Amino acid sequence: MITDLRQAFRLLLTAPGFTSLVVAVLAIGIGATTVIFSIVDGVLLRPLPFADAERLIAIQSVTRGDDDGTASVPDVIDLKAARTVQDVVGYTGGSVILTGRGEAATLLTTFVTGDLMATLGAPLLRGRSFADADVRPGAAPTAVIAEHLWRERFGADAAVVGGTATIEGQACTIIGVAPETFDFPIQSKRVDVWLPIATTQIGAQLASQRGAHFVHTIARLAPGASAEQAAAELGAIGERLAREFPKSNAARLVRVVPLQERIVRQHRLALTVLLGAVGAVLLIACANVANLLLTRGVGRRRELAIRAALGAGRGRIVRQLLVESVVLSAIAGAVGVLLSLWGLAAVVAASPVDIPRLHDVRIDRGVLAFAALLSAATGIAFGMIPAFQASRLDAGETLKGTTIAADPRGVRTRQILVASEVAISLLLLAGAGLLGRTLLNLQRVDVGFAAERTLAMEISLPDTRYPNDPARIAFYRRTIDALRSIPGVRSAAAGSTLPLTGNDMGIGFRVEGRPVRDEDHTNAAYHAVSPDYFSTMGIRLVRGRAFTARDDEQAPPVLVVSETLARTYFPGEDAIGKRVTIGYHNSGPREVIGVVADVKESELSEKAQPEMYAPFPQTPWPFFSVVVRTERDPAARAAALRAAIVRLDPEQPPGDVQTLTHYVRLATAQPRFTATLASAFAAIATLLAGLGIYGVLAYGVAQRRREIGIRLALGAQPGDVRRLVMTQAAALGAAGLGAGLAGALLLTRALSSLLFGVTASDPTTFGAVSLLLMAVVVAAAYLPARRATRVDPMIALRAD
Amino acid sequence: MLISLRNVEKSYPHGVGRTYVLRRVNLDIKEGEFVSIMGPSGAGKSTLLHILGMHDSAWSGEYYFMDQPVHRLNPKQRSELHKKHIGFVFQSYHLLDNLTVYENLEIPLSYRNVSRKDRQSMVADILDRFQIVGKKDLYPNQLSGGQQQLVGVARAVIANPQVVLADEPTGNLHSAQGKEIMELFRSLNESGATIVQVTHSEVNASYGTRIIQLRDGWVVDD
Ligand SMILES: Nc1ncnc2c1ncn2[C@@H]1O[C@H](COP(=O)(O)OP(=O)(O)O)[C@@H](O)[C@H]1O
Ligand SMILES: [Mg+2]
Repeated sequence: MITDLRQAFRLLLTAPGFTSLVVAVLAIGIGATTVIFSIVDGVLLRPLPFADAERLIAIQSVTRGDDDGTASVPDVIDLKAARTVQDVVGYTGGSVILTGRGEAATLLTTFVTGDLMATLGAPLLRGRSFADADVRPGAAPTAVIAEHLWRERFGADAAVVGGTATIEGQACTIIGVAPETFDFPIQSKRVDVWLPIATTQIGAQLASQRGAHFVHTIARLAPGASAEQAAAELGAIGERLAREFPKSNAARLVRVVPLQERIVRQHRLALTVLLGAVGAVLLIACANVANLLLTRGVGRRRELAIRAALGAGRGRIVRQLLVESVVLSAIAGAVGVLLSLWGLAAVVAASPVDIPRLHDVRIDRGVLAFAALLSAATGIAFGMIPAFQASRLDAGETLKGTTIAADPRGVRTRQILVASEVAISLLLLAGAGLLGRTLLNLQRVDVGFAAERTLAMEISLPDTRYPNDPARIAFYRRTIDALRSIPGVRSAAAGSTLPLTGNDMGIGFRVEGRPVRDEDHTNAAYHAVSPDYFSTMGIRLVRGRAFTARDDEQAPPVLVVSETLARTYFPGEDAIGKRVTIGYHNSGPREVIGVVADVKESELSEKAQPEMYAPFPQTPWPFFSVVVRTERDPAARAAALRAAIVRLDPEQPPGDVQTLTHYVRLATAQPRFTATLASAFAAIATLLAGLGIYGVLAYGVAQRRREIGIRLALGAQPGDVRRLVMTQAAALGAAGLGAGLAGALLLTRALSSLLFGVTASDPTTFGAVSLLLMAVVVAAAYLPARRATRVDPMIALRAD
Repeated sequence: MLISLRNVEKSYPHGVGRTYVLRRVNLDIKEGEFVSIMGPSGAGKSTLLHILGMHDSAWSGEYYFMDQPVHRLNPKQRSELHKKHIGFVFQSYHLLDNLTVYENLEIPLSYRNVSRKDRQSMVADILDRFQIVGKKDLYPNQLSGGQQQLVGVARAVIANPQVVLADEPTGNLHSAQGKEIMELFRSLNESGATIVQVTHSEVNASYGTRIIQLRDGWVVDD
């Protein structure tokens, strides 16, 4: 074995060009696979960083058309009765304002209905988590802060527990500090503070309503209880709630999924697809290297024949060749791991922000072990074919030295390998093509508003300083006036939420004079907006009129609806003049005064949904987003926007200022990430396949020099000889394309849910990638074909 | 004149100098001649034949074929000229191993814009003429040396060339087969073809009308 190893190394050193080529090809394959595997491992496979994480479950309350799974706080309290689960807790995200600790700051917040840390089995750094008394309505305000907030804003004060922080303008007692190792929910940005859900007025209000399904619920399986038992018991509670509270819960089902599954589910398919793609790239790399080794094997037949003649058994020869290939793959593995360090950083930097745990992905011991295993497997995989072929050599015939002609079996193997490379490349190209078209389709989607030259900023008004509607409306008016007077701002508006910013609000409504059907209580996306909202956002007015400043809190209640709402609920009629009651307080029926174009609310791929708009002063909220349309480059006005808010209220931290273009772009981030990586892998695969074809054809031309010479001597023109090589290339390409197309038609179906505006068997995409691949085949054949025409018949004919 | 060579020389680099294989060869061959080139091994016979056959282009001097200056033609033009008028029998047959007898015979036709139908009848014709119909689906390695040489000759004449160049066409044949080929050359010659053969055999040479002796690259006797 040691001898084998030593000889293997010596051999690799004597052919440095060959060795580096093989190492490079394999290192790319192993490196890319390692990167994607580390992400799949870190995001999908690794247990959540909590004690007994596999016993954590998400309890989801789902209805048709809403698989978000959020429950209402009263539901959560009823679910606590289940005996198969413990520590049931609901939570929801949000933000609060911290003042009195340096500059006012917006804190990323998780509102909870109980002791979240107990559920997750996470100890606190200091103090304690929420007791039942802390989360009860009317309890004294308390907070658990994150370690980073404690260090940054509280100077890591050892006596912080028991002290107070001014949150939303009210003094909250800090009862605990959560360590840096704890973060929940797991999302792209770390949570700054955990608060009882009733801390804000609106939270307290919503928490009391059975119909306000807005909290995610998690729990831990009780000792001895299985997930199935929990699902059965919780499901039964769900059914009871549906019977007891038909108005809010009639169509709701209670479902249990592992917590980890809930967190990573939406990324599983994309990441699995990428892992498959990168595995395919590695396969092609292996095929290429096997080809290179086969080529070299022909040159080494004499050596191996001599060894066999000297008594080396078949096993010995196979072993020696396998040792050589494993040494090669080990070197490639080491280089690949180095490449993966850089590759991972690049992928993480290019990734959309919302893949949970992505930023914690590391090339750690587990990943290294994977890479080592992968390298060994690779070495054996690509070494096997040449080794066995060599072991079947007929020593006698080779030693007579009469034939140098290609072993037909070897030629066939090489052709099959290369055709497979083409097939796999086609598969990857087709997948990448479909994902690419999806991205293009998404980018071409009419969002319904004009995102260019706009700036948006969220404003959240604390209850303490803006305790009632008149105060909120007043601040809203002053804000819009202030923004409008900023130089370079053409118009300014506000909306309770803005489309595609990740915030959306749905509200039930009822058409006056129509019976209320409970089971499909009608819901529509809802925005409370300012008079200039439609013109500032660039939302087209289709019929009727937009809001004016006269539609204020004293004026008759009015409503603007979207085309889809009008078409769905008033088919064949004019929506204008109809009266609709919306589920905002008890504001009474409103007259529809206008119809506007549809807008994408939360996703570019969503179907047009019913939308409605009411004047902000008639339906005020303690938060809103402002939007301005600028004359020129919007980014230049961002600072002025922030300054204007600070001037109005120094205690009001200005929110993140972003262009709407940014949000539209963000909406394509995930598909762009998938499409970009898939394209990169497809490109590498195609390049490698091209290289493989080049290798086989160049080798074929070298092998067929005599034949080509004879043909030239018999009157073949350069064109005829070129055709000879091209025909072989075309045959390889066609075989690969055929197999690839068949495989692609089967496999791209798995992509369906990632696609938009293109079917999994889109003929245009398949045609285009086939053409592209054929062009690569022709390009790869060009040099060998040219070399074939340069064969000097004299040399070819004489050499025997 | 069909073929005129003027001061044709061929050499290979050898150490610091050059080794000459052909020296100042001057040669005229008229249409309808049957020429035998003779000489000891290594004299340059094959070299000369390949120059005549326009496979070799690395030589100096002048070569006129049917009054065309071959030495001034580009490879494509040479190839065209060769294709139109010359059939070549190789010393070592040079059949293509992975093609059947039938397919080997078809090669020259496939480079000469012969229609499929004509190709079929021409190949059938030649198979008949050479009495190798039964061998048409065999591969060269399934044939004896003599049979391979026969196919090589058949392939050289299938396109009805005006000039047949043959490098030791009977070298591997027993005398009966050799005689057959010589009779064939004679009948081709009688029907107007020009034949140039390399041979060691006085008997074969006697079929011809003229003998050229080559020694160390020099034409010593004509
Ligand atoms: N590629 C080459 N390099 C050097 N010398 C060569 C080469 N090919 C042929 N020769 C020499 O040219 C001479 C003539 O060869 P050839 O024409 O085949 O002779 P003949 O056919 O008369 O036996 C020989 O001495 C041979 O060694
Ligand atoms: Mg010779």
